[in-house]
Amino acid sequence: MKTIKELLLVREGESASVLYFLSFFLLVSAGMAIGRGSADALFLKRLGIEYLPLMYMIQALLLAMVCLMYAAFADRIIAEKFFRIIFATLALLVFASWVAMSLSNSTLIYPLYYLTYEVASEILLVHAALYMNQNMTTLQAKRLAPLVFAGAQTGAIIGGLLLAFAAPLLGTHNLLIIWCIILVAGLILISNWHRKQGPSTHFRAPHRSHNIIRESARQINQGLRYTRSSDLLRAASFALFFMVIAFYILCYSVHRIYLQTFETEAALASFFGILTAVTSTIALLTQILVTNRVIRRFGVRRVNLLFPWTTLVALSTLTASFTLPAALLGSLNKDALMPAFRNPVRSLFFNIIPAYMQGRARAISVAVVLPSALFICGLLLWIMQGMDRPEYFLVPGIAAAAMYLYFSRNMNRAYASTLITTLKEKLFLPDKRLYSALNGANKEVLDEITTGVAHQDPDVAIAFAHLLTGSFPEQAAEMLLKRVDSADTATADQLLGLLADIDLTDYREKLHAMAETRDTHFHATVVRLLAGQQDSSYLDHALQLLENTNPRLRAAGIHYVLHHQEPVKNPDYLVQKWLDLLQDSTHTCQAGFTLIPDLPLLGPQHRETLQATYRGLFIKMLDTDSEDTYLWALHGLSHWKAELPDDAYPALSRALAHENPEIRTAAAKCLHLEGRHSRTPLILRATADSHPHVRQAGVNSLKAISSNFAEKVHHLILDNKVPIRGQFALLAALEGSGLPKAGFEELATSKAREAGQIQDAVQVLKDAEKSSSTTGMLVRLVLEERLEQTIQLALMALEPLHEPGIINIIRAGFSSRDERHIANAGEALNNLEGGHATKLLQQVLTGLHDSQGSRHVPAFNSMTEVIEWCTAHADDWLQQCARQFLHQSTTANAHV
Amino acid sequence: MSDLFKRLLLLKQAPIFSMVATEDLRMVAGSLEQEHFYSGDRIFEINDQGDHLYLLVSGSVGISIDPDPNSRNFIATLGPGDCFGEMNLLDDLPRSATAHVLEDSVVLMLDKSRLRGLILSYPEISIGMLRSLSLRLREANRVALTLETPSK
Repeated sequence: MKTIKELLLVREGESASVLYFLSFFLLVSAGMAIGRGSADALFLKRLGIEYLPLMYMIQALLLAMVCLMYAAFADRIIAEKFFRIIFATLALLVFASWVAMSLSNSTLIYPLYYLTYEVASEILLVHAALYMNQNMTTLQAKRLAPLVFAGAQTGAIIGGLLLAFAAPLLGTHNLLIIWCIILVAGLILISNWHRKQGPSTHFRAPHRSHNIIRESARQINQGLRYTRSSDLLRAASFALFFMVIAFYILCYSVHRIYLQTFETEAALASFFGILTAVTSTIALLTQILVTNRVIRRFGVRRVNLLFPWTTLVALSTLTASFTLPAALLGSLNKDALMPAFRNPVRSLFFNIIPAYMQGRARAISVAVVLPSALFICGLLLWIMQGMDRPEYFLVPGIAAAAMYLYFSRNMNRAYASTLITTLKEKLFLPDKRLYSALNGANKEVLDEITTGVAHQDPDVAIAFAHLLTGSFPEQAAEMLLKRVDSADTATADQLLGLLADIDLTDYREKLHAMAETRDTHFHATVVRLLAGQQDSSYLDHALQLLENTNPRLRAAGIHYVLHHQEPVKNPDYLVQKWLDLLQDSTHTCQAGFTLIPDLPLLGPQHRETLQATYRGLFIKMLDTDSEDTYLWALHGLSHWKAELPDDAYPALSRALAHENPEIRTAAAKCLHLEGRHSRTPLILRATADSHPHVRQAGVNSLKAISSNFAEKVHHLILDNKVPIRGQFALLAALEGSGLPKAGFEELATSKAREAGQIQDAVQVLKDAEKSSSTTGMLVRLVLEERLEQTIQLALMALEPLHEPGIINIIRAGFSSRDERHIANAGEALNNLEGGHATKLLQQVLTGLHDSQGSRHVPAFNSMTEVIEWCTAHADDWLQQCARQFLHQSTTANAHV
Repeated sequence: MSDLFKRLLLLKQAPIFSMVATEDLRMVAGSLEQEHFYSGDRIFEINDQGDHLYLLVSGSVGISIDPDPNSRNFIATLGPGDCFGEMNLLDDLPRSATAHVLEDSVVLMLDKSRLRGLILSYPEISIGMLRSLSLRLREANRVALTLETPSK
């Protein structure tokens, strides 16, 4: 049984539903085969083929009307309920037709019955696909649709054989009763299944509306608008349009040949039965053994071109030879290849359209595209059939088939991009490009930002001020200084800080005047801002500040003098003032720490004196319980340019484990400093911290100490030398670092391969009994977490290789934990150009290891192998859990 | 170490922590306090100001939403591995139920203010918790839709 399931690609827990769908479609198709054979034979023999083009035209109008109704309700009513309505109505109509045929001699009933069958068959075909979509994901449908359609083919074979044998015995018109019985059986089956299993899983009812007519018009309008805006649906609609013309010309042609070949109604019905059985058998075998393997091997897009090509060949053959063998070839194309390849592939194409549009999109195809094409085809045949030579209608058929092929290629082009768009819409992902478009944008944007800067809320104002200095630096000075006038002191201080890198020559006077208008903190900020400008006019004031009792102002004064007095006139005096700052209280020292970056501006002797004092201070301050002092020492240390004091290393290591993230961040900022100890282990620890600021500081420190950052990070990630969270931070930093695309590809492939390994490890643990112990379960949990993270990491490595945002959307799809989005993300990934990495990832993500032609060789055969692999892994936490598991197992065995 | 692992598994079973990475949960596990309750005790009563989440290590606890805290009309009976009182971790509303100890129980408790401190220090914990909540919301939406659908 397991082998059969594997062969048919049926997964655990799917057997019952596959069996149901198979039986359901079998019944529907058996009935349709009887309906079709009887309708064709009765119509052609009792009325004549010359009326067939007229039937096509009437059928087109009827289809349009019925399908407009269908479009209005398709998405609103759950699929199974709609099926019940269709079955009940159809059973009544067929029964009424039989009664009319039995009691009356009127020939009018035959075209009516023919039309009933044709319209019902179209609606059932469309609705069957919608029903599948409401019960399966894209990937499930991709796997199981061929199998389910195979059930339909079996039904067609049974129906065909019944027709072939029963028509001569019972008379063609009595076959209608059999169809009627089958319809009732289908009705019972679907009702029972959903009573037990509940409603279709993926049905999402839209809001109700009281005005159904207006609502249906709105829905059809929406469908049409969507068709215009969707490249995929537009191409699909054109493809369908030309396919219908080619298809019905093919139908008409083969019917003409069959009508000439078989003289009696019973013989023709019997032949139709046999033909249905044979073509359905071929379709069935193809679906079971070939279709989904071909789809997997060549992809949806290539298989989508198969039926257009064979239709072109069939029509060309008929043009060359209008005989029975050519007609049989045509029937094989339309009745075997179409259900075997075209229908499953088209269903997959529709599956990627947003769910709320699927029903409407399908109905628009059937209500607008199909009828208009059928009407044109009927009109064409009506005009052409009077002419002697069949080439007159076959050549337009060939042209239509060529156009069908052309638009099928367009459909393929739109497939992947539609997948991405659908995912994006469903996941509500903002487009990064929208934000980046802000930079240097037009006046309206500047006006918006100006309004934001003027906002009363200081946080809003500062956020917009950031945006302003980044995108419109020329306007920033004037606008921010104006805003400073009306801001409270703390906000004014922050706004001034944003002007540090902007030329303020034109605003010198304003800044001088502003300096002493508020508190000393603000004063110091203005002095520091002026110190950064090419302007020495504030020097006298700055020299006065050296005597100020406020340490912050004194430090600002020293800073200004060092930058604008060249050379410093009285360096001993200045250094003494500086040393005073460092020898008073901790509070005073904090002001002294802001001067660390200025140390290189001093001569060697003064510099050494100050550095020795700073070293002593760091050691003293880092050996304290006060978080504030600790933090200040670390802030000071982060500006340090000389070698790090040895004693500072243990303190930094301790700081990185501190619960206060500010302390961890400050420690991570110090890790670029050279010393006797290796900095790398601490830096890597920082890159994996739980707080993003610490991680970023770690990454910056690594950048500062690495001569070839990209290469170093590439190796660190490739060899798993960094904890997984650190790998994310480093990979993000790699973008724009100069790593070639091949490097990203290598990372993605390596991580995808690793994800496959972890997936195997998880599977082994799931199967192993021992893993039910506490530590065993924890190892499994950690591995499951690693699996998800490694997949995300591999996808992240793919980002620079593709258009901006695409991988991000796929990642979001996988993170959504919604099986429909995951399935679409998997399909989108499969359609990305991207070599080995995407293929490996797709296999992992969709759990397809076993489904390909080549059998997957598991990375591990036993739990022991998994645990050994975990203990040797560079991941500390995984290693720790695995070791604990080993320890626990050894202890348990010793007790035994 | 083994105790830590047991606590981690318990935490991971709690819906609110199900999406928090195990290495981040180590911090939370270290903040759990063990407490014994005896049959007949009430761990908390309806309308109490809640400040803890509880993980049941052993024993049995009945949950009643009856406004009368004496009522033993239980809407759920919890066993080892179950988590309760988690709603109060994030909101400051009074308890919406009473927890009766049905059998002598060992409970691990997580203090709300301690968790808030951990969240500030290790933001990945809160991101995991948000993912857990989002997952529960999706599930609730799905259930709501399923309940709504058969009537159509």
